[in-house]
Amino acid sequence: MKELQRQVSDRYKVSPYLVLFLISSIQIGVGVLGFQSNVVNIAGNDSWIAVILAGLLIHILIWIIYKILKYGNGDLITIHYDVFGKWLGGVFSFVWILYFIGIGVVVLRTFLQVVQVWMFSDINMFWVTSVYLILIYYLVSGGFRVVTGVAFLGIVIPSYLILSLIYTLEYTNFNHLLPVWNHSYRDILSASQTMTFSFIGFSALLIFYPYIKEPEKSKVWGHAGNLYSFILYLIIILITIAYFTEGHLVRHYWPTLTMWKTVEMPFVERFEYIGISSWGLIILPNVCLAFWAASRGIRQLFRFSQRKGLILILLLTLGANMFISSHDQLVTFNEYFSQIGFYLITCYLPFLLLMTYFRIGRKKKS
Amino acid sequence: MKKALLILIIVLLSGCIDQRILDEVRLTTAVGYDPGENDQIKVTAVSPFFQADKSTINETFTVLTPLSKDAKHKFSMSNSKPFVSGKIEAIIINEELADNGVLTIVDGMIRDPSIGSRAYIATTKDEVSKLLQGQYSSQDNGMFISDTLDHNIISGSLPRTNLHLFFNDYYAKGKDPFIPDLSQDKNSIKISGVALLKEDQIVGHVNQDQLFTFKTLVQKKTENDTFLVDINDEDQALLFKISSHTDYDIQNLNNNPEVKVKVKMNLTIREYSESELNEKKIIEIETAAEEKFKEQATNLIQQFQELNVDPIGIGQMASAKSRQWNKEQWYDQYPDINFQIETNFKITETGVAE
Repeated sequence: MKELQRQVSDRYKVSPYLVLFLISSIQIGVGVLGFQSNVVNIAGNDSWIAVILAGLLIHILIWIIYKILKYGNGDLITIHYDVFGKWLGGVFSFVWILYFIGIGVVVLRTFLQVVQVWMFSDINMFWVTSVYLILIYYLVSGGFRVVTGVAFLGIVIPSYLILSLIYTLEYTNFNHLLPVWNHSYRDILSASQTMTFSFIGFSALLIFYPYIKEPEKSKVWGHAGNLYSFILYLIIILITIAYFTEGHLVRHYWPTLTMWKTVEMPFVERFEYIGISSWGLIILPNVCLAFWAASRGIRQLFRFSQRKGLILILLLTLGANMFISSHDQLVTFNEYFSQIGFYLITCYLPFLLLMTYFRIGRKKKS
Repeated sequence: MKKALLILIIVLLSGCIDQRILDEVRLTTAVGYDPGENDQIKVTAVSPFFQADKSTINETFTVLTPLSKDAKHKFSMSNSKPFVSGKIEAIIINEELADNGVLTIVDGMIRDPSIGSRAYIATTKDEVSKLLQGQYSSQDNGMFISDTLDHNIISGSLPRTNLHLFFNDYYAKGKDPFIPDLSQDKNSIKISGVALLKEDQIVGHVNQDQLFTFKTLVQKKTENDTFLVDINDEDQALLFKISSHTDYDIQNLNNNPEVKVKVKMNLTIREYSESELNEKKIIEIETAAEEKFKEQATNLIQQFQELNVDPIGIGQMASAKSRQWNKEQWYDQYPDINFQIETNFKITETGVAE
């Protein structure tokens, strides 16, 4: 049995500016490959407004998270413990741990689905998942500093992919964006809700906060990280709307990949193969960070070693990946999960802020 | 120990995936669809057969099938190598078959991740299997057709077209697709014009000699094309288009739409049947070119209105300007819209001789 850990030794901590990579690397994942059709389905050519609204909402939520952490002075699990007590706090913590595991499962399974549909229809899901999980185990058991390193590489190395969009510009018609705002507020808001799913995962900040040196200074980097992925999503949705006509776009599950079909280079006939392979690196920090957060949560909540918690999570993921066997199941799972995730971050976080303020923050001030 | 395990994994797991080595598959470069007996479809696949002396022979395979995608399976049943569709460059559909709708045939293409967006979709009045059988060049016919269309789009009178643009136009509200129309010409394949589609059915054609005007109308910016103009019934001049810019101005959108077409063009004189050229003659040629263009454009637009097809995408432009735009209502109005064509042609060069 271990102790509830409130302080982290300095040698495990990372510099504040790395929060930029941590936040944006977990936000940029499989969502980029296919978020467009979900959003455009609801808000049509006004989808870019929905992306902006979702991005701004996340900025507010990041602000809320920093406030919670400032008052609570610890991570999500210790705050739950302090605010709600051992049992109720434990239940809330457990929900969040499941949520982090869910993020990892959704990301990994969706990515493998893409690989299966676009590249190798005959891959054996069990073995591919296992190979990935072994890699994830290797990285996550290396500790938070290693995960941060992966997040850094996961942003920097694949960043060249943005250049591939230049090829699609040949076929873009930005008139598709007009007329601006011909959808109802309701549609646009509901599209923003769908959009927040792509930004999901930044809440891992609730867990890794104690691992940041001078955490107060990391605020601006957290927001910068969100701004980076926000702008990336905005650019992609603008180009996608201009590239497809609306009716055509909603027929595709993964519009970004379809757009890559236009890329033509002398040495490669099909760019999707390069893109999808690179995506293997992009989703790595997503999954690693989510699983790191979950296993850290397990260590804090159940007080047994993080490594054992991690192995448990990986086995659970393997099972879940085998269980979700068709595209429809995956879509249903994604839908439920995005609903839960949405309410968890938009309703629960403000609630937690209030509770933390009244239970801990106010006392501290006086 | 850990390292040994890692090496073991790398060695054991690489190469687990089904490999597709180029020499061991039939690389399909074009597929053709003809009507067959008993409501079946006759599918023709073209694949290059590389000879030892580095030349390429065009090989074709034909099967009858009720479902277009099923053909791949049937092809493989009668061949020593599996067929792969990753390199399909051209999809050619017989016009008779296209009367039942093009989409039923190409729907599989949007689903298949291995088919590129830049593949061409074309139609022909001839029998596709015969068209694809000929040996027209040292290439296979898929590459041959794709190259022919390619260079005519870059520097010729064929407007931009491919599978992606076809689907874009098909699903667009207020725009109808068009695809190139091919025909067999003795020992070659020729672009004989463009087929106009309503929904996914061919309803009309634009001839080869109207393509110059057609391309200028449907594409906002064009370049590199030649235009033959008669002047006063005796002389002829061959003009080369350096660039053109077409703008549509839609007025009175809600009750009684009017469309102003503004075409700006820069041209050079390539050939002239008289030997001498002077300022006056140049202006004369400019006017003659403008008149011919106006006449052709008016005819084409009239044809579109009679067929109620909108390959230019006037409806799409209108929908970008109005929040109340409605597809059915627009197509009701479309045949009665008044088009005004304004041209501004300029001959900027006359070549290097006086």
